[in-house]
Amino acid sequence: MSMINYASREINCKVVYYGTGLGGKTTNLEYVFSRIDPETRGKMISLATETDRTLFFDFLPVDLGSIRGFKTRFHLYTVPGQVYYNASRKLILKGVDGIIFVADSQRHRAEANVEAMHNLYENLESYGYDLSTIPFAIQYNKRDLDDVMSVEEMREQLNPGGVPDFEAVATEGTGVFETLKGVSKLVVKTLS
Amino acid sequence: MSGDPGRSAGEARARIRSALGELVKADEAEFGLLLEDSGIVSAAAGSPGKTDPVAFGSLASAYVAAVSDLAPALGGGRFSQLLQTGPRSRIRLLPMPAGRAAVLLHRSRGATEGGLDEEGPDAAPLEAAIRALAKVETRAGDRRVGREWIRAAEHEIDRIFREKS
Repeated sequence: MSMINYASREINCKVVYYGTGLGGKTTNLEYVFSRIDPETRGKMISLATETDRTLFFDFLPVDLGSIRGFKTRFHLYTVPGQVYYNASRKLILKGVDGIIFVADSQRHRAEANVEAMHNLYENLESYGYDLSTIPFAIQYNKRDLDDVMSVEEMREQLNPGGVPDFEAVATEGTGVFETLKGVSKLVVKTLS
Repeated sequence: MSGDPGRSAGEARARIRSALGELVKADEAEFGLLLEDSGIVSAAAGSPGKTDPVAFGSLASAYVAAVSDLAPALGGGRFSQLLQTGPRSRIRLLPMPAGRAAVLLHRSRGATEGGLDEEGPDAAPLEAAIRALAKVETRAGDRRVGREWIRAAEHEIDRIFREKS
């Protein structure tokens, strides 16, 4: 689904952060925005409510520069995690090239993670997309908090297929770039 | 159109750029973008001035997507167009075939200037060009890059997605 535009020599790839509400999707994006070279990033757009919950999406374009004559750009999006914003989540998935599922490691969020994963499958299916054919990684976020599930438990619940997964503490930046790099490399591989 | 799918797609894209340019002129807009349903800008015409086309395109695309999904609730199949007027600029959003949308940006020339006319420009040539592309576009044919490109891209990903020093 990535668009290679030979006429304008451009390649654009869309990566979406998905997952349960308050799981850390926006924090991932904010960390990327704050830590990459300002020359390579565009303006970050956050459509949020007054309490800073994502209302529609966050958006961050990242320019990889000209790679062998193709201007290459990643468009990073987050979706609103709150259950009742499903229509918005679904819209953001249109034309997706790669997905990062941000799971909240806290034990009491286990059910919400599973629900969000099911919701991802459902929304992709409604567009005729098959997650097994889309570059996909899972991030187990908030590893620094008390009462978190073990990674093995989380894998069993969320990652039976064994897609690439990463532990993270997005507030500190741990695992943020590793996850993004993992999916981005999978996305560029699909272009060959 | 030639029999070569890659060449035909290239010709169709050139036709789209030309038709978008004509649409911008006909509407007397400053610039125009053709947006994919993913929010990515696939063609541009005119001069964006200080407007960031990528950010503008993502917001316009989300706007179009939301209104398109609302249209059935209002009893319509799809919206015909959207006009929004601000003190400095005005935009016209037009739905296009294959989930695409065109957005035309107008700068206001004065406080007394009226809004955009509701009839709008003739978008048929652009629609036809998009349909022509849809006929010849093949995912695989459009997506190929070589292994060297992949290696170079992976190198750039490692370079860009890291903590700045």
